[in-house]
Amino acid sequence: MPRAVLIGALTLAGCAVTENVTDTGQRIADQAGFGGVFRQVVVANTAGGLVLQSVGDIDPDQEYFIGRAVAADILAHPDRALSRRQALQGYVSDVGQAIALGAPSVELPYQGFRFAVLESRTVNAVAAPSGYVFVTTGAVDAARNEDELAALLAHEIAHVQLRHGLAAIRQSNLTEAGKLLAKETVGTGPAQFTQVFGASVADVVGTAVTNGYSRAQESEADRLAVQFLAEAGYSPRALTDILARVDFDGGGFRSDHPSAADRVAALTPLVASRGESPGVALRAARFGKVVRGG
Amino acid sequence: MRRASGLAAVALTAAAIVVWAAVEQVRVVEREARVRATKRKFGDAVFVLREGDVVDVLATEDPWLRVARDGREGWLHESAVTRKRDYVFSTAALTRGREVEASQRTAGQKGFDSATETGYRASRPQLEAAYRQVDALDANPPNEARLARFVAEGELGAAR
Repeated sequence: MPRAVLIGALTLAGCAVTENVTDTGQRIADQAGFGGVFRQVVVANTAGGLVLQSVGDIDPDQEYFIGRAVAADILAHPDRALSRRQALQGYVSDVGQAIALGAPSVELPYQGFRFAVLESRTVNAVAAPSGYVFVTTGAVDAARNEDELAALLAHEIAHVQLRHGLAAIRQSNLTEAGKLLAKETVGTGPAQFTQVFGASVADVVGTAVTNGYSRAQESEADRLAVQFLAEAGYSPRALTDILARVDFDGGGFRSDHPSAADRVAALTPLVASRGESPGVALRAARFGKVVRGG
Repeated sequence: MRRASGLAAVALTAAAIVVWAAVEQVRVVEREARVRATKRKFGDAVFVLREGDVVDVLATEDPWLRVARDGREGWLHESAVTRKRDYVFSTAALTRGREVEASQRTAGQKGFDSATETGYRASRPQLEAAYRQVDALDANPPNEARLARFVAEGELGAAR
Protein backbone atom coordinates (compact mmCIF):
# COMPACT_ATOMS: atom_id res chain seq x y z
CA MET A 1 0.00 0.00 0.00
CA PRO A 2 1.66 3.22 -1.05
CA ARG A 3 1.98 5.65 1.78
CA ALA A 4 0.02 8.81 1.34
CA VAL A 5 1.83 12.07 1.52
CA LEU A 6 0.50 15.49 2.26
CA ILE A 7 2.77 18.35 1.52
CA GLY A 8 2.01 21.98 2.14
CA ALA A 9 4.37 24.33 0.37
CA LEU A 10 4.54 28.09 0.51
CA THR A 11 5.44 29.88 -2.68
CA LEU A 12 4.89 33.47 -3.57
CA ALA A 13 2.89 33.86 -6.72
CA GLY A 14 1.35 36.63 -8.74
CA CYS A 15 -2.10 38.07 -8.28
CA ALA A 16 -3.82 35.52 -10.44
CA VAL A 17 -5.76 32.84 -8.67
CA THR A 18 -5.53 29.43 -10.18
CA GLU A 19 -7.14 26.09 -9.57
CA ASN A 20 -5.69 23.04 -11.16
CA VAL A 21 -6.53 19.43 -10.63
CA THR A 22 -4.32 16.88 -12.26
CA ASP A 23 -5.10 13.32 -13.20
CA THR A 24 -3.13 12.03 -10.27
CA GLY A 25 -5.11 14.06 -7.84
CA GLN A 26 -2.71 16.92 -7.34
CA ARG A 27 -4.52 20.02 -6.27
CA ILE A 28 -3.12 23.48 -6.41
CA ALA A 29 -5.08 26.24 -4.85
CA ASP A 30 -3.95 29.77 -4.39
CA GLN A 31 -5.29 31.71 -1.53
CA ALA A 32 -5.00 35.29 -0.42
CA GLY A 33 -3.15 35.82 2.80
CA PHE A 34 -0.33 37.71 4.52
CA GLY A 35 -0.71 40.56 2.10
CA GLY A 36 0.09 38.41 -0.88
CA VAL A 37 -0.89 35.18 -2.42
CA PHE A 38 0.47 31.86 -1.37
CA ARG A 39 0.07 28.57 -3.00
CA GLN A 40 -0.98 25.42 -1.30
CA VAL A 41 0.16 22.26 -2.93
CA VAL A 42 -1.30 19.00 -1.82
CA VAL A 43 0.07 15.87 -3.36
CA ALA A 44 -2.04 12.79 -3.46
CA ASN A 45 -1.11 9.19 -3.08
CA THR A 46 -0.65 7.12 -6.19
CA ALA A 47 -4.22 5.87 -6.00
CA GLY A 48 -5.24 9.35 -7.00
CA GLY A 49 -6.93 10.47 -3.81
CA LEU A 50 -6.08 13.14 -1.29
CA VAL A 51 -5.93 11.76 2.18
CA LEU A 52 -7.13 13.47 5.30
CA GLN A 53 -4.63 11.53 7.33
CA SER A 54 -6.19 12.09 10.72
CA VAL A 55 -8.71 14.18 12.59
CA GLY A 56 -5.85 16.63 13.01
CA ASP A 57 -6.40 17.54 9.36
CA ILE A 58 -9.97 18.66 10.12
CA ASP A 59 -9.87 22.42 10.58
CA PRO A 60 -11.96 24.24 13.23
CA ASP A 61 -14.48 25.51 10.68
CA GLN A 62 -14.97 22.01 9.28
CA GLU A 63 -15.36 20.65 12.81
CA TYR A 64 -18.01 23.31 13.36
CA PHE A 65 -20.24 21.98 10.58
CA ILE A 66 -19.78 18.39 11.76
CA GLY A 67 -20.64 19.51 15.29
CA ARG A 68 -23.79 21.29 14.15
CA ALA A 69 -24.97 18.14 12.39
CA VAL A 70 -24.26 15.96 15.44
CA ALA A 71 -26.05 18.47 17.67
CA ALA A 72 -29.04 18.44 15.31
CA ASP A 73 -29.08 14.65 15.44
CA ILE A 74 -29.11 14.76 19.24
CA LEU A 75 -31.92 17.32 19.34
CA ALA A 76 -33.99 15.52 16.70
CA HIS A 77 -34.48 12.54 19.02
CA PRO A 78 -38.02 12.65 20.49
CA ASP A 79 -36.73 11.92 23.99
CA ARG A 80 -34.15 14.70 23.94
CA ALA A 81 -36.13 17.91 23.57
CA LEU A 82 -34.64 21.12 24.89
CA SER A 83 -35.91 21.88 28.37
CA ARG A 84 -38.35 24.78 28.50
CA ARG A 85 -37.10 25.84 31.94
CA GLN A 86 -35.34 29.00 30.78
CA ALA A 87 -33.88 29.80 34.20
CA LEU A 88 -32.30 26.34 34.26
CA GLN A 89 -30.99 26.74 30.71
CA GLY A 90 -29.38 30.06 31.60
CA TYR A 91 -27.90 28.70 34.82
CA VAL A 92 -26.37 25.61 33.20
CA SER A 93 -24.98 27.80 30.44
CA ASP A 94 -23.40 30.09 33.05
CA VAL A 95 -21.77 27.15 34.81
CA GLY A 96 -20.43 25.80 31.52
CA GLN A 97 -19.13 29.17 30.36
CA ALA A 98 -17.54 29.78 33.76
CA ILE A 99 -15.37 26.76 32.95
CA ALA A 100 -14.93 27.32 29.21
CA LEU A 101 -14.00 30.98 29.61
CA GLY A 102 -12.61 30.83 33.15
CA ALA A 103 -10.10 28.01 32.73
CA PRO A 104 -7.08 29.20 30.73
CA SER A 105 -6.40 25.68 29.43
CA VAL A 106 -9.75 25.41 27.69
CA GLU A 107 -9.32 26.06 23.99
CA LEU A 108 -12.38 27.64 22.44
CA PRO A 109 -13.73 25.99 19.29
CA TYR A 110 -14.61 27.87 16.10
CA GLN A 111 -17.65 29.60 17.56
CA GLY A 112 -17.14 28.93 21.26
CA PHE A 113 -19.01 26.55 23.53
CA ARG A 114 -22.78 26.26 23.82
CA PHE A 115 -24.51 24.52 26.72
CA ALA A 116 -28.10 23.30 26.82
CA VAL A 117 -30.36 21.15 28.98
CA LEU A 118 -32.37 18.28 27.50
CA GLU A 119 -35.67 17.33 29.09
CA SER A 120 -35.02 13.67 29.80
CA ARG A 121 -35.16 11.37 32.80
CA THR A 122 -32.08 9.57 31.62
CA VAL A 123 -28.98 10.56 33.55
CA ASN A 124 -26.44 11.65 31.00
CA ALA A 125 -24.36 14.34 29.38
CA VAL A 126 -22.98 14.39 25.86
CA ALA A 127 -21.00 16.72 23.64
CA ALA A 128 -20.88 17.23 19.91
CA PRO A 129 -17.69 18.38 18.18
CA SER A 130 -17.02 22.11 18.16
CA GLY A 131 -18.48 22.65 21.59
CA TYR A 132 -22.17 21.76 21.75
CA VAL A 133 -22.61 20.33 25.25
CA PHE A 134 -25.88 18.82 26.41
CA VAL A 135 -26.88 17.62 29.85
CA THR A 136 -30.19 15.96 30.73
CA THR A 137 -32.51 17.16 33.44
CA GLY A 138 -31.99 13.72 34.95
CA ALA A 139 -28.27 14.40 35.28
CA VAL A 140 -28.84 17.91 36.66
CA ASP A 141 -31.18 16.46 39.27
CA ALA A 142 -28.62 13.77 40.13
CA ALA A 143 -25.99 16.41 40.92
CA ARG A 144 -25.93 17.49 44.56
CA ASN A 145 -24.50 20.92 43.93
CA GLU A 146 -23.12 23.33 41.32
CA ASP A 147 -19.62 21.86 41.50
CA GLU A 148 -20.90 18.39 40.58
CA LEU A 149 -22.83 19.87 37.65
CA ALA A 150 -19.64 21.68 36.66
CA ALA A 151 -17.79 18.36 36.80
CA LEU A 152 -20.16 16.83 34.25
CA LEU A 153 -19.75 19.80 31.93
CA ALA A 154 -15.95 19.93 32.38
CA HIS A 155 -15.74 16.28 31.35
CA GLU A 156 -17.70 17.01 28.16
CA ILE A 157 -15.59 20.10 27.43
CA ALA A 158 -12.56 17.84 27.72
CA HIS A 159 -14.00 15.39 25.15
CA VAL A 160 -14.48 18.32 22.75
CA GLN A 161 -10.97 19.68 23.27
CA LEU A 162 -9.45 16.22 22.88
CA ARG A 163 -11.47 15.79 19.67
CA HIS A 164 -12.74 12.39 20.79
CA GLY A 165 -15.92 12.73 18.74
CA LEU A 166 -14.00 13.48 15.57
CA ALA A 167 -11.71 10.54 16.25
CA ALA A 168 -14.69 8.27 15.67
CA ILE A 169 -14.81 9.20 11.99
CA ARG A 170 -13.60 6.23 10.03
CA GLN A 171 -10.49 6.71 7.97
CA SER A 172 -12.43 5.52 4.93
CA ASN A 173 -14.71 8.55 5.21
CA LEU A 174 -11.79 10.95 5.64
CA THR A 175 -10.12 9.40 2.61
CA GLU A 176 -13.31 9.64 0.57
CA ALA A 177 -13.67 13.33 1.46
CA GLY A 178 -10.11 13.88 0.35
CA LYS A 179 -10.71 12.12 -2.94
CA LEU A 180 -13.72 14.29 -3.62
CA LEU A 181 -11.69 17.41 -2.92
CA ALA A 182 -8.99 16.17 -5.27
CA LYS A 183 -11.50 15.66 -8.06
CA GLU A 184 -13.20 18.96 -7.51
CA THR A 185 -12.95 21.45 -10.33
CA VAL A 186 -14.17 24.97 -10.83
CA GLY A 187 -17.93 25.05 -10.94
CA THR A 188 -18.38 21.70 -9.23
CA GLY A 189 -21.07 21.83 -6.59
CA PRO A 190 -20.89 20.46 -3.06
CA ALA A 191 -23.43 17.67 -3.61
CA GLN A 192 -20.78 14.98 -3.64
CA PHE A 193 -19.80 15.81 -0.10
CA THR A 194 -23.26 15.28 1.33
CA GLN A 195 -22.99 11.52 1.47
CA VAL A 196 -19.55 11.34 3.03
CA PHE A 197 -20.49 14.17 5.39
CA GLY A 198 -23.54 12.20 6.53
CA ALA A 199 -21.46 9.06 7.01
CA SER A 200 -18.91 11.02 9.07
CA VAL A 201 -21.65 12.50 11.24
CA ALA A 202 -23.08 9.01 11.77
CA ASP A 203 -19.65 7.81 12.91
CA VAL A 204 -19.49 10.56 15.54
CA VAL A 205 -23.07 10.00 16.74
CA GLY A 206 -22.44 6.26 16.99
CA THR A 207 -19.59 6.78 19.42
CA ALA A 208 -20.30 10.05 21.24
CA VAL A 209 -24.04 9.52 21.72
CA THR A 210 -24.84 5.84 21.38
CA ASN A 211 -21.94 3.60 22.29
CA GLY A 212 -19.64 5.78 24.38
CA TYR A 213 -15.91 6.36 24.25
CA SER A 214 -13.06 4.00 24.95
CA ARG A 215 -11.46 3.42 28.33
CA ALA A 216 -8.45 5.48 27.36
CA GLN A 217 -10.58 8.37 26.08
CA GLU A 218 -12.73 8.48 29.22
CA SER A 219 -9.65 8.47 31.43
CA GLU A 220 -8.05 11.20 29.37
CA ALA A 221 -11.20 13.34 29.58
CA ASP A 222 -11.46 12.76 33.33
CA ARG A 223 -7.91 13.98 33.93
CA LEU A 224 -8.34 17.05 31.78
CA ALA A 225 -11.67 17.81 33.47
CA VAL A 226 -9.93 17.88 36.85
CA GLN A 227 -7.52 20.47 35.46
CA PHE A 228 -10.34 22.58 34.02
CA LEU A 229 -12.31 22.48 37.27
CA ALA A 230 -9.31 23.54 39.33
CA GLU A 231 -8.42 26.36 36.95
CA ALA A 232 -11.99 27.68 36.89
CA GLY A 233 -12.25 27.60 40.69
CA TYR A 234 -14.57 24.61 41.04
CA SER A 235 -13.79 21.68 43.29
CA PRO A 236 -12.04 18.86 41.37
CA ARG A 237 -13.33 16.49 44.04
CA ALA A 238 -16.82 17.02 42.64
CA LEU A 239 -15.95 14.79 39.69
CA THR A 240 -15.06 11.78 41.83
CA ASP A 241 -18.01 12.50 44.12
CA ILE A 242 -20.59 12.32 41.35
CA LEU A 243 -18.88 9.42 39.57
CA ALA A 244 -18.89 7.39 42.77
CA ARG A 245 -22.51 8.10 43.59
CA VAL A 246 -24.50 8.35 40.35
CA ASP A 247 -25.34 5.56 37.93
CA PHE A 248 -25.28 7.13 34.48
CA ASP A 249 -27.32 5.78 31.59
CA GLY A 250 -25.74 4.33 28.46
CA GLY A 251 -23.65 6.25 25.95
CA GLY A 252 -22.50 9.79 26.56
CA PHE A 253 -21.05 10.30 30.01
CA ARG A 254 -21.28 6.69 31.08
CA SER A 255 -18.56 4.26 30.27
CA ASP A 256 -18.67 0.63 31.29
CA HIS A 257 -15.00 0.42 30.46
CA PRO A 258 -13.53 1.66 32.71
CA SER A 259 -16.10 1.25 35.46
CA ALA A 260 -17.03 4.20 37.65
CA ALA A 261 -15.06 2.62 40.50
CA ASP A 262 -11.95 2.36 38.34
CA ARG A 263 -12.34 5.96 37.21
CA VAL A 264 -12.66 7.21 40.78
CA ALA A 265 -9.64 5.19 41.88
CA ALA A 266 -7.56 6.52 39.02
CA LEU A 267 -8.56 10.12 39.69
CA THR A 268 -8.30 10.21 43.48
CA PRO A 269 -4.55 11.02 43.70
CA LEU A 270 -4.88 13.71 41.04
CA VAL A 271 -7.88 15.27 42.78
CA ALA A 272 -6.08 15.21 46.13
CA SER A 273 -3.11 17.01 44.61
CA ARG A 274 -5.35 19.87 43.51
CA GLY A 275 -6.64 20.66 47.00
CA GLU A 276 -9.96 22.12 48.01
CA SER A 277 -11.86 24.98 46.41
CA PRO A 278 -13.52 27.74 48.44
CA GLY A 279 -17.15 28.66 47.92
CA VAL A 280 -18.65 25.20 47.40
CA ALA A 281 -21.46 25.82 49.90
CA LEU A 282 -22.17 29.26 48.46
CA ARG A 283 -22.50 27.81 44.96
CA ALA A 284 -24.57 24.91 46.28
CA ALA A 285 -27.08 27.44 47.59
CA ARG A 286 -27.66 29.05 44.18
CA PHE A 287 -27.77 25.59 42.60
CA GLY A 288 -30.57 24.71 45.02
CA LYS A 289 -32.49 27.86 44.16
CA VAL A 290 -32.46 27.23 40.43
CA VAL A 291 -32.60 23.44 40.26
CA ARG A 292 -34.70 22.57 43.28
CA GLY A 293 -36.59 25.86 43.44
CA GLY A 294 -35.55 26.23 47.07
CA MET B 1 29.21 64.67 7.61
CA ARG B 2 26.84 63.89 4.76
CA ARG B 3 28.40 60.45 4.44
CA ALA B 4 28.01 59.80 8.17
CA SER B 5 24.34 60.69 8.15
CA GLY B 6 23.86 58.49 5.11
CA LEU B 7 25.43 55.56 6.89
CA ALA B 8 23.25 56.20 9.91
CA ALA B 9 20.16 56.15 7.72
CA VAL B 10 21.21 52.86 6.19
CA ALA B 11 21.84 51.42 9.63
CA LEU B 12 18.47 52.56 10.88
CA THR B 13 16.75 51.11 7.86
CA ALA B 14 18.57 47.81 8.32
CA ALA B 15 17.60 47.77 11.99
CA ALA B 16 14.00 48.46 11.08
CA ILE B 17 14.05 45.59 8.62
CA VAL B 18 15.48 43.26 11.27
CA VAL B 19 12.78 44.31 13.76
CA TRP B 20 10.06 43.94 11.12
CA ALA B 21 11.32 40.51 10.14
CA ALA B 22 11.39 39.40 13.77
CA VAL B 23 7.70 40.10 14.33
CA GLU B 24 5.78 36.86 14.06
CA GLN B 25 2.41 36.96 12.36
CA VAL B 26 -0.42 34.55 13.05
CA ARG B 27 -3.92 34.26 11.65
CA VAL B 28 -7.25 33.89 13.40
CA VAL B 29 -9.09 30.57 12.95
CA GLU B 30 -12.12 31.27 15.14
CA ARG B 31 -15.16 32.84 13.54
CA GLU B 32 -14.74 35.81 15.86
CA ALA B 33 -12.05 36.38 18.47
CA ARG B 34 -11.98 39.18 21.02
CA VAL B 35 -8.65 40.71 21.92
CA ARG B 36 -8.72 41.34 25.65
CA ALA B 37 -7.30 44.06 27.86
CA THR B 38 -6.23 41.38 30.37
CA LYS B 39 -5.27 37.72 30.13
CA ARG B 40 -8.72 36.23 30.52
CA LYS B 41 -11.32 35.00 28.07
CA PHE B 42 -14.11 37.28 29.10
CA GLY B 43 -14.35 40.84 30.21
CA ASP B 44 -13.13 44.00 28.55
CA ALA B 45 -12.43 43.55 24.84
CA VAL B 46 -10.06 45.99 23.14
CA PHE B 47 -11.04 44.99 19.65
CA VAL B 48 -12.54 42.10 17.72
CA LEU B 49 -10.88 39.93 15.10
CA ARG B 50 -12.50 37.68 12.53
CA GLU B 51 -11.46 34.45 10.89
CA GLY B 52 -8.52 35.03 8.55
CA ASP B 53 -7.34 38.29 10.16
CA VAL B 54 -3.58 38.60 10.57
CA VAL B 55 -2.05 39.91 13.80
CA ASP B 56 1.50 40.63 14.96
CA VAL B 57 2.67 38.69 18.00
CA LEU B 58 4.50 41.02 20.37
CA ALA B 59 4.95 38.61 23.28
CA THR B 60 3.94 35.15 24.47
CA GLU B 61 2.81 34.20 27.97
CA ASP B 62 1.43 30.69 27.52
CA PRO B 63 -1.44 30.28 26.64
CA TRP B 64 -1.73 34.00 25.87
CA LEU B 65 -0.34 36.05 23.01
CA ARG B 66 0.18 39.80 23.17
CA VAL B 67 -0.96 40.83 19.70
CA ALA B 68 -1.26 44.02 17.68
CA ARG B 69 -3.20 45.05 14.62
CA ASP B 70 -3.83 48.48 13.16
CA GLY B 71 -2.13 50.19 16.09
CA ARG B 72 -4.16 48.44 18.76
CA GLU B 73 -2.84 45.86 21.22
CA GLY B 74 -4.25 43.28 23.57
CA TRP B 75 -4.23 39.65 24.71
CA LEU B 76 -5.45 36.79 22.57
CA HIS B 77 -5.72 33.11 23.56
CA GLU B 78 -3.35 31.06 21.43
CA SER B 79 -6.09 28.59 20.50
CA ALA B 80 -7.71 31.36 18.44
CA VAL B 81 -4.89 31.43 15.90
CA THR B 82 -2.87 29.24 13.56
CA ARG B 83 0.77 29.44 12.59
CA LYS B 84 0.25 27.17 9.59
CA ARG B 85 1.19 28.99 6.40
CA ASP B 86 -0.84 26.54 4.30
CA TYR B 87 -4.04 26.80 6.32
CA VAL B 88 -7.10 26.94 4.08
CA PHE B 89 -9.76 29.26 5.42
CA SER B 90 -13.49 28.90 5.00
CA THR B 91 -15.25 30.30 1.99
CA ALA B 92 -16.85 32.90 4.22
CA ALA B 93 -13.48 34.13 5.44
CA LEU B 94 -12.01 34.19 1.94
CA THR B 95 -14.86 36.13 0.42
CA ARG B 96 -15.58 38.48 3.30
CA GLY B 97 -15.42 42.10 2.39
CA ARG B 98 -14.24 41.81 -1.17
CA GLU B 99 -15.19 40.56 -4.58
CA VAL B 100 -13.43 37.38 -5.58
CA GLU B 101 -13.19 35.23 -8.62
CA ALA B 102 -15.22 32.04 -8.77
CA SER B 103 -11.98 30.07 -8.76
CA GLN B 104 -10.96 31.74 -5.51
CA ARG B 105 -14.23 30.73 -3.92
CA THR B 106 -13.54 27.20 -5.04
CA ALA B 107 -10.15 27.37 -3.35
CA GLY B 108 -12.05 27.85 -0.12
CA GLN B 109 -14.17 24.75 -0.65
CA LYS B 110 -13.19 22.44 2.15
CA GLY B 111 -15.65 19.59 1.82
CA PHE B 112 -17.31 19.98 5.19
CA ASP B 113 -18.61 23.53 4.92
CA SER B 114 -21.79 25.58 4.70
CA ALA B 115 -22.52 24.43 1.15
CA THR B 116 -22.29 20.81 2.23
CA GLU B 117 -24.52 21.51 5.20
CA THR B 118 -27.12 23.00 2.87
CA GLY B 119 -27.13 19.80 0.84
CA TYR B 120 -27.17 17.63 3.95
CA ARG B 121 -30.15 19.51 5.40
CA ALA B 122 -32.03 19.32 2.12
CA SER B 123 -31.57 15.55 2.08
CA ARG B 124 -32.78 15.19 5.68
CA PRO B 125 -35.86 17.34 6.16
CA GLN B 126 -36.59 15.49 9.41
CA LEU B 127 -33.61 17.32 10.96
CA GLU B 128 -34.77 20.82 10.00
CA ALA B 129 -36.51 21.65 13.28
CA ALA B 130 -33.47 20.46 15.23
CA TYR B 131 -31.13 22.45 13.00
CA ARG B 132 -33.15 25.57 13.75
CA GLN B 133 -32.59 24.89 17.43
CA VAL B 134 -28.86 24.62 16.77
CA ASP B 135 -29.07 27.93 14.91
CA ALA B 136 -30.70 29.43 17.99
CA LEU B 137 -27.90 28.12 20.20
CA ASP B 138 -25.32 29.61 17.85
CA ALA B 139 -27.13 32.95 17.93
CA ASN B 140 -26.94 33.06 21.72
CA PRO B 141 -23.32 33.68 22.74
CA PRO B 142 -22.48 34.06 26.43
CA ASN B 143 -23.38 37.38 28.00
CA GLU B 144 -19.98 38.33 29.37
CA ALA B 145 -21.18 40.95 31.82
CA ARG B 146 -23.63 38.47 33.32
CA LEU B 147 -20.95 35.79 33.38
CA ALA B 148 -18.54 38.10 35.21
CA ARG B 149 -21.17 38.60 37.93
CA PHE B 150 -21.87 34.87 38.06
CA VAL B 151 -18.18 34.08 38.50
CA ALA B 152 -17.67 36.75 41.15
CA GLU B 153 -20.77 35.77 43.12
CA GLY B 154 -19.69 32.13 43.04
CA GLU B 155 -16.17 32.91 44.27
CA LEU B 156 -14.78 31.20 41.22
CA GLY B 157 -11.13 31.37 40.24
CA ALA B 158 -11.37 33.75 37.35
CA ALA B 159 -12.76 36.46 39.61
CA ARG B 160 -9.75 36.38 41.92
